[in-house]
Amino acid sequence: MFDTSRPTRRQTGSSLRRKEARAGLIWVQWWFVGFLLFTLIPICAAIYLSFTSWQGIGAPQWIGIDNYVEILSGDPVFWKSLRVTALYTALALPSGLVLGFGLAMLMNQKLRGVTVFRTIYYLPSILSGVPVLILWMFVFNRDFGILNWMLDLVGIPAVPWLNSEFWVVPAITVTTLWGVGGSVIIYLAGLQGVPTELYEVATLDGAGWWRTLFTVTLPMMSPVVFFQLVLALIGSLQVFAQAYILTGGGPNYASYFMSLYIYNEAFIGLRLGYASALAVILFILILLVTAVVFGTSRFWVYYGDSVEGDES
Amino acid sequence: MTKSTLTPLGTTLLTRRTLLTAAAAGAVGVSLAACAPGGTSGTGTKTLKLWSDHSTEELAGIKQVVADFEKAQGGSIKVEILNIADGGQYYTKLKTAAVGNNLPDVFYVRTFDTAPFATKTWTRPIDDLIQRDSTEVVPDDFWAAQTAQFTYEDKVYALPYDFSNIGVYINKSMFEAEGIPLPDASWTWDDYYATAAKFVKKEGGKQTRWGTTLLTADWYMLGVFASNGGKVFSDDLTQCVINSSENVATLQAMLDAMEAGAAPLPNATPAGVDPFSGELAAMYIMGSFATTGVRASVDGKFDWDVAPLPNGSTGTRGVSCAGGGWSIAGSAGDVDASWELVKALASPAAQEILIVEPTRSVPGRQSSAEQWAEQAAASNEPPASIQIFVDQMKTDAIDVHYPTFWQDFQTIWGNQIGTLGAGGEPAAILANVQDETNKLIARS
Repeated sequence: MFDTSRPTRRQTGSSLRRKEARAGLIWVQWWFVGFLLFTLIPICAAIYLSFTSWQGIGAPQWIGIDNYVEILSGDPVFWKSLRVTALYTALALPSGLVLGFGLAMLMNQKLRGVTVFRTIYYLPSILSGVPVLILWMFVFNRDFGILNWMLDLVGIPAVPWLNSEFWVVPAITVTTLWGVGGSVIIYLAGLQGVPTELYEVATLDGAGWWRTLFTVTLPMMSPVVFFQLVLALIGSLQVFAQAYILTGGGPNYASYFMSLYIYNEAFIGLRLGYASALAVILFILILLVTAVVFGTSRFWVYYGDSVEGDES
Repeated sequence: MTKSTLTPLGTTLLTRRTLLTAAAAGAVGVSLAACAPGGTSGTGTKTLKLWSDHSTEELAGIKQVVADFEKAQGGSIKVEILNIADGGQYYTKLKTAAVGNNLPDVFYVRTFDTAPFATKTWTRPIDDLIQRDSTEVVPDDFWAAQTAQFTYEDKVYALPYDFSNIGVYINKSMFEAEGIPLPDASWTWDDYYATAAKFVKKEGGKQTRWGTTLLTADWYMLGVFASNGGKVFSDDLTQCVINSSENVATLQAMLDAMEAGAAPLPNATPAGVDPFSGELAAMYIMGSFATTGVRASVDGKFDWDVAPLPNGSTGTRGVSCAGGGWSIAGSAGDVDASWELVKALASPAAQEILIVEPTRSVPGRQSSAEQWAEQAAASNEPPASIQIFVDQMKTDAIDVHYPTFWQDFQTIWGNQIGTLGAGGEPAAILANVQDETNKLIARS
């Protein structure tokens, strides 16, 4: 016998939500296995090891918070690497966001051949990091690099980009900005999703280019900017390959980023307990900074008129 | 709408879930099976794992030696080789494997590794095995200095492969063109820098030729410092004592040479161009292991040879040596089979294939070194004076032992010495190296 009673809107929605959740869980189970094995368990292990003096042999010796005390009070290299990482983030993060957004605005123009430029700007993103960094070593060469050659054309003396404590982080930032095409594609997708009628209304209201940018484009793009900001922030604080390949952290620790310090402590010095404590500190730092960014998002990120919990 | 119309998705999902669960279990099983270690197969053949850190050319020789070994064992031992040509990556692999208790049975080590690896029991002492098979191994045939470097707390941990030292590669054609006499064995570091200054060439305000390239490699510098009366480590190898007036003077001379243009400032020569084979520098300080590489890259473009290192202020040459060898893992399951492989890799026959025939580096056996010199002389290939590497080993080698904290010292040294010629003062560089190294020693 058929159940002819009509399910209420609430019952139907609830049932669908449960089924969707179940389907979602099934689809993410492979990801979850990977997350468990390669992320969650290693994170838990690192937290435990950070309270030990483990050096890769024998059982880890529990030493309480000694590693943290040593890092925070007696390790100048930690503070130096933290400063260097913060400097890199301060340079790479805003410049990457502005450059990526600006290029996306340019690439969003309805011009003949614009797709060619989109391809050109995206190309660096698909090139593998290490060979590209090797090429950057050619660019930054003191006497024969193209960058100093161009500076020489306008009478600026050669800069020892990778050998100067002052210039090495800006130079590494430039290598990062070269790959900004990846974010341009995401910005571009966001820009093309902004309703054109908003621009038409702005034009009718007599808004100029800047006014339109700040009252239409940026508010509508704020979720995309927020997404890019969070990703770029985390990426900046974890920067590793550039220093590992280009400078080894030198000169005089001027590019000794936190991730490189952790790597060297773990895989060169085999002070795995100490390296784990450094990793936990970096993790907490990233968590805090990301939480602050999330906390501020309600003041500047605009999600349109959607109502939370709307099931229609 | 009936209930049944709401559930087909759920019904399908349950089936899929069962399938996915089974697939997950299967994949985990396959993954675990893949992680199983090697050993003895059902046919009774033992499998040994061998890890090396060599160039493609050297790997071909190692494969030949291993093939000969497998044949000699009558098929009872099979060797799986993993070669990682990049030194940094090799050590990362080795260390992670060691921490995971998954080291190969036999692996390539350098004399720098003796103390760090032995203290962690990653390598097994082989004195008992050497003594048991001394007639076959002939331990006296190895360089005493290298055996000493492979010794930690009176126990030997590896059989040698090669033993390298450093010389000065000379572009003879450039010397002749400039009318500058070739150096002889009596030259000093002052002579060396003065000679280098004669080759400086500038075009359009830009320097296009230097007298020499400088080498700042950590193990090489131990000898240079020693030749000028300086030390790097305390005698008991527990402290770094590099910050001395003698060592400051050594670095200052190098800095003066850079600032005078006799040697390039850091990152000043074109990236990707070898300054010596590219004829950008008349002299090139490099190891005995580089002879085959230089021969290939110069490729007859000019005449070249090698000269001994200059003498220091102490009147001695102070040549530091380092080399490679083969160790058995502390965790090796079949020590006897592993030992057979190590013996084969360090045998005179292997030395002939790996080092004598290509006349590269200096063989780890003195008897092979004689063959090697004869082969080099007969080949008419440069460098004609390749024998100087053997002579330096016999007469100028300093007594070097590498401490347990060697790799930390390398990292710190590399970070600090990179500032020489880029604003770093010698005294500050050495003070930092000493301070940071000793802090790390205290923490370890």
